[in-house]
Amino acid sequence: MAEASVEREAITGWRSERLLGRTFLHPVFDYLLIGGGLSLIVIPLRYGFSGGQSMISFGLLPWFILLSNSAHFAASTVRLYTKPGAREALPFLTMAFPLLSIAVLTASLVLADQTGPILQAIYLSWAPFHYAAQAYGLAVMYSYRSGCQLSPAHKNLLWWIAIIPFVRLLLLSSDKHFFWWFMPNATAIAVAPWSLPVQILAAVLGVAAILLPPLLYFSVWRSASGPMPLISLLVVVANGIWFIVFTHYDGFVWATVFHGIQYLCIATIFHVKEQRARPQNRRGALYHVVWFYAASLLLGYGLFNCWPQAYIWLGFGPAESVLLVIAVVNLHHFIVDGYIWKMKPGDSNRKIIAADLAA
Amino acid sequence: MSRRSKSRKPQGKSRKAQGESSPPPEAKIQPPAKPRPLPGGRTLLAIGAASFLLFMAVGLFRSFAAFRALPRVGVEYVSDLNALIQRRGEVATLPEIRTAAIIDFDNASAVAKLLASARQAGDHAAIVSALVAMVRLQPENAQIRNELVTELLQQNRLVEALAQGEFAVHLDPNSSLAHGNLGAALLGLNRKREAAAAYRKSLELDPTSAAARRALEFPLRGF
Repeated sequence: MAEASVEREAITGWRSERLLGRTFLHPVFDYLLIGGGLSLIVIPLRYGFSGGQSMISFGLLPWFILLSNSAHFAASTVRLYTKPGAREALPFLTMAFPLLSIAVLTASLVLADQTGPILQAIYLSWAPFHYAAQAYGLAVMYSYRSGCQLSPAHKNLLWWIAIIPFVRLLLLSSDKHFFWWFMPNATAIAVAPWSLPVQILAAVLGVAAILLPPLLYFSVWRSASGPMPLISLLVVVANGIWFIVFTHYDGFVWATVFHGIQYLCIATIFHVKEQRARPQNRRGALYHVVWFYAASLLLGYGLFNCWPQAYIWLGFGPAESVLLVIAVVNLHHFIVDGYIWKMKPGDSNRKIIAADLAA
Repeated sequence: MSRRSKSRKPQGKSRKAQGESSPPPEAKIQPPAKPRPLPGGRTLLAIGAASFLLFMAVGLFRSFAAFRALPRVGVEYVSDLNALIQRRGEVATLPEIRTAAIIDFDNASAVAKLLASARQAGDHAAIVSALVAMVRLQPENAQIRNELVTELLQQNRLVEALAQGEFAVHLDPNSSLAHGNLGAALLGLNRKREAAAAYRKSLELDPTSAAARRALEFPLRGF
């Protein structure tokens, strides 16, 4: 009897450890900031106290954008150039891509009326995909580091579920992406012949984005992989909630805010681990945190606030200078991000996770 | 932070070999494949970095020279555009605003600003582009669509006016203006019987409509 009880306790302990997962700093920090749990607390409070308004103060918004969003865009570049071995592993991205980006930006400014809407539509379309892909990536990473080896089929399913909010957004927010060009000029969505099927499909996708993650979670649990950590479920559901529960404008606002926070946290954690693993490192974690954030903030300010001024000085209009810099910085971030988080053998990302697992 | 590419495109290796799903990672780590060096990579990087730093310096210089301050924090460019224009003591030119509205096609305030500026300048082509953009952003707003139809009629763009006018009537069947505009478009296209019906509906909804009364009395008498 005693043996059975000890065994049961051991199983319960193992399950709760697997359910919580192996977090990077502390479960509270990881679940709130990286998992997106904070958004599920802040957003209802925000709406509860403001009568449905998503914005507290438009005056504070630019500062919030600088501290969170601009810094997060810059963080990918900072990480690209500080990641051990990145220059050798990604020669085109680190050496030629910056110059290429500057050239594309300058050329598109010259032909702003023709290229501007294309760049704008591409980055607006890509952004929700980028958020969904990040949710998928974080879910897989937390599963992996928590000892849950997802099967390829489960990973494929998780990917498709994670991108449902993006697909739904493509369907509904036709003014925010490249489908805009293909919409008939005199379209009134509610009276268009395809309106009803589109609305039904959108509703189905909305429900699927919230319901399918828990279903997949239980399917994984019952498989040989064992349970995924709950943070993997949370991060996918939170991304779904941002885009499905709210109107597309509010969805973009909330996703931008919390994605930025999520990204800065995870990028800082990886940066600190990479820097501290360097044999010549003599600094503590706090130094690396402050350095990484300060560099990202400074670069973010330079990219979004100083760079357009330079183009205005060169004679380009203020609107295209501001808008196209934003578009190109976004696209640069999406592309860089597609490479710097890979977990190829020998990559520092993989070493960090492997080291944590070994510990 | 996309990791999809590695899981979807194994590039000659199995997914497990690619990384993320392979069990005990410390046991399976393989030496990384040697990347091909980029010819002239360092030079490109140096040029890119120098260009970027130069842009930053020019941006800071311009801001100090023009405003005696660091560049403003904020990316809500319509306000930025207004602020820039006010600070340099100029009026926004229509092309400046038109470019803004063309690029930022989902920004209602940019389009509204374009419409106001176009009306101020009396540029009818710009008024129509602004109204078309507004219709795209608010496809179910009958008032904006009516404004677009009115503007198209003034420019004698009758086929477009008819298409938009039919939508306007569909969106607000009780609008005398919508029926009147539809009547005008039909009359312009010489579809007199349908035009008379539209004008009659317009007059029924608003018996004081002088335009409908005039149309029914003269060009459409007997229809």
